[in-house]
Amino acid sequence: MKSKIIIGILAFMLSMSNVLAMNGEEKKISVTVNGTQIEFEDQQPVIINERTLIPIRGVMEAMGKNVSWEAETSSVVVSDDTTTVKLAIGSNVMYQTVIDSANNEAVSFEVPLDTAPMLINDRTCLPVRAVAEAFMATVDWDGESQTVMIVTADLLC
Amino acid sequence: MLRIKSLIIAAALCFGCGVHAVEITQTSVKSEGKTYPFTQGQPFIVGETVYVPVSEFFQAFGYDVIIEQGIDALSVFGDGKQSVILLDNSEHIVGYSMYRYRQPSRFVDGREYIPLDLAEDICGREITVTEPITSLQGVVIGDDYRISEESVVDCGNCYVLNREYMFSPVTVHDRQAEKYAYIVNRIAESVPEAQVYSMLVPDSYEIYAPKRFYTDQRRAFGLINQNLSERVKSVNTTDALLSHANEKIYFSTDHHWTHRGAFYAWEAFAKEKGFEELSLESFEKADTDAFTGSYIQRLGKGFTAADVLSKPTETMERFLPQYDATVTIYSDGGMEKMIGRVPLINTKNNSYSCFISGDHPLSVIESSVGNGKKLAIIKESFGNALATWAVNNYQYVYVIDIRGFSGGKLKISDFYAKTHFDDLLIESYPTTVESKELSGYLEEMAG
Repeated sequence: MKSKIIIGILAFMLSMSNVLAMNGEEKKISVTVNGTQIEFEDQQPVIINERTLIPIRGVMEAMGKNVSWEAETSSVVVSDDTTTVKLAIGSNVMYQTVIDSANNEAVSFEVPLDTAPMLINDRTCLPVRAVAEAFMATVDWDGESQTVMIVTADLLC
Repeated sequence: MLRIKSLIIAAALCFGCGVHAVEITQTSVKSEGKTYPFTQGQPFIVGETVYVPVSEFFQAFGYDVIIEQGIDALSVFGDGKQSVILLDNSEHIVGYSMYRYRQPSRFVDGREYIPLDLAEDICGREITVTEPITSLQGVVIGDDYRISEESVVDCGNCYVLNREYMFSPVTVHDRQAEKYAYIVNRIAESVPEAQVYSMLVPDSYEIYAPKRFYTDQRRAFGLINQNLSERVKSVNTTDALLSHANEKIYFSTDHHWTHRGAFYAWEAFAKEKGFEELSLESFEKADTDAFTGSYIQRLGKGFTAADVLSKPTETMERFLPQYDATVTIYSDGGMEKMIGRVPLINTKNNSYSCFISGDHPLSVIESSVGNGKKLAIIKESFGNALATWAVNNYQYVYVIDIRGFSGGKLKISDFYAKTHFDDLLIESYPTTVESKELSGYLEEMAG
């Protein structure tokens, strides 16, 4: 019995020896879409160059948008019925196409980005404000709770 | 049999506990029994923070370091995870989350360096420094005046030491220091007829705060000075202040220097100009015990002065001018839109704003010294106390606040054409140098 206890303690010590407490102070950033908190399974939102980058899929799907990956250009494409945006990893330009409802014609233009999209731990992280605003959502930041609050266009009065 | 098995397991576990140990010396990193020399950049120490060169350090673990396109960052890949080092920044992505560190990453002599605590978090290993690491540069601000640490409270926007001394560290990165020198040179080029001076003012915590907060602003100033053109003369304010560090040259609850501190800086400038020496003792004074400092307003949410300070006010010396001076405030560089007239030193105001009534776009001081000399000072708020000393040597002092003309509303060459000032003094403290916004305002004045 005694030897089992010793082995148990030593095994616990081994498991702890591989886990060091972090020196840095964690900055937790939350994202809500229409009041609902988005849960990120691994990679968390981060702030780079004063812009919040978020793993894009969960948030865009919560906004009712389609997300696809274009491997040949390392780009992510986010779209709905009227608007499509395409952002390439490492590029400071977002390409936007909007269907003009008046005449059904497509209008395309470039939107400069302060911070380029990044692949972080295999998650495509996009500057949330630029992408959300492309779909006419509002994006607000609550500094106290460190929360990005997105409200989609269909809910705006 | 069981005893032998226990011993074997214990030995294996003890070995497992030590397998991730990492040691660094001045010249190498040792990991898992192998030694990897630092052949290009070597570790250095700033204050009490050891910095390691990013690429060479992580090579010891077989990690890959790549430059991220489109953002100022390096990604470090290893042990199945990615960390992102944001350049010249205190916040970094380690694994899946973002973390804030006390000291930022640095770019020195063409290489990226990170503090040891960040390196530990990225590689997931405890790092031991097994020999003394050399300081980043030879001449540092020493420890003679450092306050012994009894308590430190992090109030979000500033620290409070021993319930008395408040400060907010700012690191001036090499890249920004070089950019600042470039900006000053451009301003000097814009006014070839005037003599241009650069005055850099260190923050008080570099002298008085515990060493672990030291960021080596002196190094940054040295970098700026060595990049200034021959058209610009630098005023050695750091040594001027250090030689009086046992006097009250900075406030304890405010980020500014005191009137006395500004005097010693002015004295250094006056010496450069060959002006007659002034004696502080010859000035009448209007002191107060009721000075309220800027940091009191900067306390983060949830903190009050009563919580963190033994006393919310402190003493302020005010040396009254020996010459009559009028101060006229303008909102434009053309001096057509007058805002008002204020006293040079308002003895009814117990804050730093008592000096020329605080920050305004353009404050024009006319002194009864009557010698016809003209000085333009481009400044942020440290220049306010400084300007009150200028009346002893200049009949006209034009005090230009960098924030008063954002968007390029004032060009120094146009202002020179209007006023024909003799000398231009560009005064900045570290926040101005480091801030792209503030130094950007300065840059807008060039041309």
